[in-house]
This record gives sequence, structure tokens and C-alpha cells, in this order.
Amino acid sequence: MKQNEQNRVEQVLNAWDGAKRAEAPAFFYTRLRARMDAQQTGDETPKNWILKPAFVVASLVLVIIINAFIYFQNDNSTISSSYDESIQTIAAEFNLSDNNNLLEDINEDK
Amino acid sequence: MNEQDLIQQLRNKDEQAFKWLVDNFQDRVYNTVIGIVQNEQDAEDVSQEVFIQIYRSIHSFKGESQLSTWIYRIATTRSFDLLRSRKSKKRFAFIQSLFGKDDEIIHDPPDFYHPGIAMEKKEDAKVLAKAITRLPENQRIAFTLNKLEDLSYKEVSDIMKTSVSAVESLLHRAKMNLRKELEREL
Repeated sequence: MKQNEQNRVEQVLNAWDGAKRAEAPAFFYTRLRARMDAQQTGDETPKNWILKPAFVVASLVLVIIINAFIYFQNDNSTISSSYDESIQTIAAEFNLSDNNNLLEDINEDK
Repeated sequence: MNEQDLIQQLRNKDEQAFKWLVDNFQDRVYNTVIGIVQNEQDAEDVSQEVFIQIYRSIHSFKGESQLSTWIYRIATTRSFDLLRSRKSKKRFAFIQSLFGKDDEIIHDPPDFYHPGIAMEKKEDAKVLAKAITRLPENQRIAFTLNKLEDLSYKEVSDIMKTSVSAVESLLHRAKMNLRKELEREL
């Protein structure tokens, strides 16, 4: 049984042995020349390169990078502005908001 | 025609020389390409592209190998370029279908019957052709050139820019992998 299976596998494996060479279709040269002439005159339809996966993926990556860049830029400015706000709040609470007043207060005490 | 003269005439864009080249190589190129792409229409398109590339880039042929070796190399490279673009298109179509845009369905290729195979072997050859599609690229090139074009290990090694022993090893591994595939298939 096993021997039969192996023989069958070997038979299929050798199925291309002795194959005749496939012949190119008739008028191959005529059609080739026509295609070359069409390419020279620019008749061949332009390639739809914009839909090529490589271009699409590259564009998506670029958009994601730009978005991430803008997001992190905004995020940094938000952090720094909120940091400024909290400093001002603390300064107001401790009456330190106006440096001149503070200096005046210190001078008066002297 | 002497090969050096032919190359020189091709560089001069001589029409007769180009026709002679196509007449003498079209079957070899077509047979190699059809063995790899496994589709008659694609094989004709790719074969045409091979000759267009030869016509345009003959000046870059340095004569370090035979002209036929260079032509076989272009034929195998172009064939795999097509297979790769098919694969990426299929992947892209799958992504499009996820987003609901599936107006162009790319089908799996139909069964392939090589035109040069004897009638009584056609069904076996079809099963073998399907198994061959699962081989790695270099094993597939070696197997196709050796079996379909009946090229010697030396000729295959020149085309693949490798050693004869490397081709022997590639063919050995190709057969082992095919046996495994066929045991599963049959």
C-alpha cells in the first residue's frame, strides 16, 4: 500500500519529464512590434501607480507620522501653558504675582 | 550569425537582427515563462516584456556570459516580478474588501496545463504544477529550467549565478519538498 503511494508520488513528480517546448503564440513578433511602437508613441495606457500598494502604504505611513508629529507638538505646548497657569495661580495665592509689590513690601519692612 | 555581431547589431537597433533574435529565442523564453507564471496570457505578456527589455538594455550586456544565459535570466526575473505583483495586488484587494470596496475580485489562478505535456500525463502534470507553486523561488527556477528547458546543471548555475553543486542541492531540496507536497495532495 505504502509502496503504491510512493510510486504514485514518483510518477507525478516525473510528469514534466520529456515535455515538449511550449511554442510562443502565432504572430508573436508582430504583436511585440505593435506593443513597442505603441510604447514609443505613448499610446499604452499610463500605469495606475497611485493605486500601487507600496505607494498607498507609504502615503499612509507619512500621514500617520505627520499626525503624530502635530499631536505631540500640541501636547507639549498644552503642558507648558498649563504649567505657566499653575505657577501664576500659586503666585496669586501667595501674593507673589507682582514682583514689584513684593520688593516694596520687603523695603517697607526694613 | 556570430554572437558578437548579433550583439553589435542589436546595439545599433538593427531591425533584422532583433527579428532574428526574437525568432530564435521566442519559444525558449515563452516556455520558461509559462512554466513559472502558469498562465498562457500572462506568459505572452511577460515574454514580450523580456524582448522589450533586451532591446532597450542590450548596451548593458557586458558579454561575461552567453547571450542565451542573459536572456534566460531576464525571463525568470520578469516572471517572478509578475508573480510578486499578483501577490501584492491580491493582498491589497483583501485590504480593500475589509473596507467594503470589493468591486474587483481577484480569483485564484485556474488549473494549469502545460501545452507541451503528453495527453496521458496532463492530469499528473497539473498536480505537479500546483505543487511547484509552493516551492521557494530559487528551487522553482532551478526545477523549471532543468525540467522544462532541459538545461544542464552547468547552464542553470550560469543563469542563477551560482555553482553547479548549489544547483544540485537546490534540485534535491526541490524534489524533497515536492514529494512532501504530493504526499499530502494525493
